[in-house]
Amino acid sequence: MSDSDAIRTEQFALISRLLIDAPSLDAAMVTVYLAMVDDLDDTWPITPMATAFAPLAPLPADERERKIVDLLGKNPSWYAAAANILNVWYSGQLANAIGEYLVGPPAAYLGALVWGLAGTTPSGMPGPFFGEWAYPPSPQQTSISASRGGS
Amino acid sequence: MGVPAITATDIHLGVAGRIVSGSVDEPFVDPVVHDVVIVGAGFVGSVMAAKFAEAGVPDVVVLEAGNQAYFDWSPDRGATSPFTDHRLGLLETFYASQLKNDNSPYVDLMYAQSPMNDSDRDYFVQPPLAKSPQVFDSTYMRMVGGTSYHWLGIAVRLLPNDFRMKSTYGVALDWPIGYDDLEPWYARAEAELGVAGDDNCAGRAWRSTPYQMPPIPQSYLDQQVMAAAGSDRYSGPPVTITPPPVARNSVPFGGRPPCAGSNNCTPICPIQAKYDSSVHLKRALGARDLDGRQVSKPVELRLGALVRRVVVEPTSPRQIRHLEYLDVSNGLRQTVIRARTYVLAMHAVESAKVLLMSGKVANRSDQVGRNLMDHPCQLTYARTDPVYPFRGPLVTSTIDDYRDGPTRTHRAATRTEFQNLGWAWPTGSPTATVNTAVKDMLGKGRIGRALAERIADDISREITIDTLLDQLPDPDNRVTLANEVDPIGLPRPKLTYTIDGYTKAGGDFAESLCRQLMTAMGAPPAEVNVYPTYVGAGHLHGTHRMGTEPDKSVTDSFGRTHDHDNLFLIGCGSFPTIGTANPSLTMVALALRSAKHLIDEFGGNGVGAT
Repeated sequence: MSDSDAIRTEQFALISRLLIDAPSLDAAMVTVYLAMVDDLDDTWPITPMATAFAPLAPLPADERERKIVDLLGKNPSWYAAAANILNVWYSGQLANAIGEYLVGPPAAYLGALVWGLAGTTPSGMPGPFFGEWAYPPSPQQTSISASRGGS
Repeated sequence: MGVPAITATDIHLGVAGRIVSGSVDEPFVDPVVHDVVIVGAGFVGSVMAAKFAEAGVPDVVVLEAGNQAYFDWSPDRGATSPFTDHRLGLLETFYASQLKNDNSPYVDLMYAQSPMNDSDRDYFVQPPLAKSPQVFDSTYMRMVGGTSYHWLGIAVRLLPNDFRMKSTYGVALDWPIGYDDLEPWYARAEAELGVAGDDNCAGRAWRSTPYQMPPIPQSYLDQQVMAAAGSDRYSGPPVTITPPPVARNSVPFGGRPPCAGSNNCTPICPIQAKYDSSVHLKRALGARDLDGRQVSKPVELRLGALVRRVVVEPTSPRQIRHLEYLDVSNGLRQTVIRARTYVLAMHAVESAKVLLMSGKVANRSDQVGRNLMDHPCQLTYARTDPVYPFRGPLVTSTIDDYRDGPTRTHRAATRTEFQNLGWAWPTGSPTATVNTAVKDMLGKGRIGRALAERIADDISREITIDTLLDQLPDPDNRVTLANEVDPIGLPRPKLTYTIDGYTKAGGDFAESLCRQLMTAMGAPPAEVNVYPTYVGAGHLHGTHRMGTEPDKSVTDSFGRTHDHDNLFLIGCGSFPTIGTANPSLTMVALALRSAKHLIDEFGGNGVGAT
């Protein structure tokens, strides 16, 4: 990876962490989802967003959220980029302007945060034990940290 | 019986004189007259091939349009080498596919397309949506193993009255056989597939044998439905919510593991806890019986063999002379194959299509292609108190109370299932749920934890209830040959299909029941959604129905065509009526019964005597 790619990846990771409010995200998934977002539109304003978001990182979550949302509201292209980033992280899929889903690698679907939030594993991956579906998921199971995306 | 020699001039062109491919002057004529040629390596073809192999029928060939098996089946693998499965590759294909639907893991073959529920690649020819909102909505796969790879695994039997709809309820027609005739074959079918079920469930047909495995545990979601249905919040008709019998292991069975709850029975069970036809196909190819004993001679499986014509013996029209197929591995070479007995088991649409492409074959009754049926599904969905879907097998409970009863004189019977799959069916959840939540929350200026909590909450409360509706045979619901052709020039199937008031009345009943269940589960009444059309269940029936009268049916109860002594049509197309049972178990029972019938005949004729 070139220096500029590494910087861009780090910027994407920072933006993603702050939008999701996750202390960390799986580095491999950062690469996968950045590639998908770039597939959709590789001209989106990653550097300005990262530059604007970075000073907000130390703020308390509520204040940070308000300031990020303010920034998104003032920049339509940032707003659209944020929606795509959130969609790809949570669902592992990304649709273009006419609703067609991009083809992503298998890891994209497996790493989606939604599975952890739903208290389950990605479709096709085994559950924890036979018959576990007869019980509700534990609160620990229904969280971002329960998904592959969190660490 | 004598089979005349074939010459090049016997090879016919495609329908309406189109040359589909290859050289008509140089057909390859298989010099051997085989004992049995089976067309289609799906549920029926695989089971029958295994039974013929076990019985020692010496020379059985299976022709399959699919060009690859998803397991290692090379004949030189040695007697002790396992058939290595490739199903994890199918899972990866599913993950990487643009659309996540029933057919996503599988290859849509250029020369043998499958209906894909994808408007860009429609295989069926139907009226455009704008002119006919209710299209035929079901898919199947043309591949080794057929649609068994993505069936749900529900292995429920038809009910005794399903076989006598005319004499009991005055509608449709009776089968030429009754439940009592088929019961022993149901028992054998269950033993072959391995079925997990509750022997004590009320509302199902009588049985002579226990299930092979205890039932799959009912999901937490199901338990919330049961609690609501038993509460004073529920004011609908009485319901009993029980685990359906499923060919999905609850304990190790047949060398396959128990279900791991990967929530992916459809489109691909990653560990083969769910039965699929590769079980019997391997047995046929390996020629081993249920106890693992080697039998006399494995069947021959020819991949990429696209059958396009059934040819009648001109001098003896009660005999089929040969089949013509395009050999994909040899540049779509036209090939002739002869046998003493032919079994077409290509599923309801493809079997009918090939017969219609063949001219006047097996169609004295003009019933070939007619009476196409499915189980139209009524979908109701809502957000209730938390049920935590997307966990466990896709369906672990059903309502069987309304599968039979006097209302069947005027209203379709119903069988209701609870989807452990959130709103995946009606909306495309979880992706669609995420997309909606992101859009909504961003609009409200909320991201971060608030968005995560919103997604978790929305998903946790999603429930979809689907109800399979009985559909009566209608001769105008049919498969014919379209003017449009597929990429190699063969006609595509044209489907004409409507859903009548009898079925819709069942849908109305189901909607009312489901609305009351969901309201009792905490959904605001105004927020209970009903899908705007009926959706297909993937249960394609009819098109070559069995019966006793040659002018009103295509085959007898064993699948032998009334018109040709050596041609059998076996599968869902054989069903005169369909009740509310998923068809695969009945199809396997019929296949086993027909196989035994043929094996007995072969014994008498000195073919395959054991």
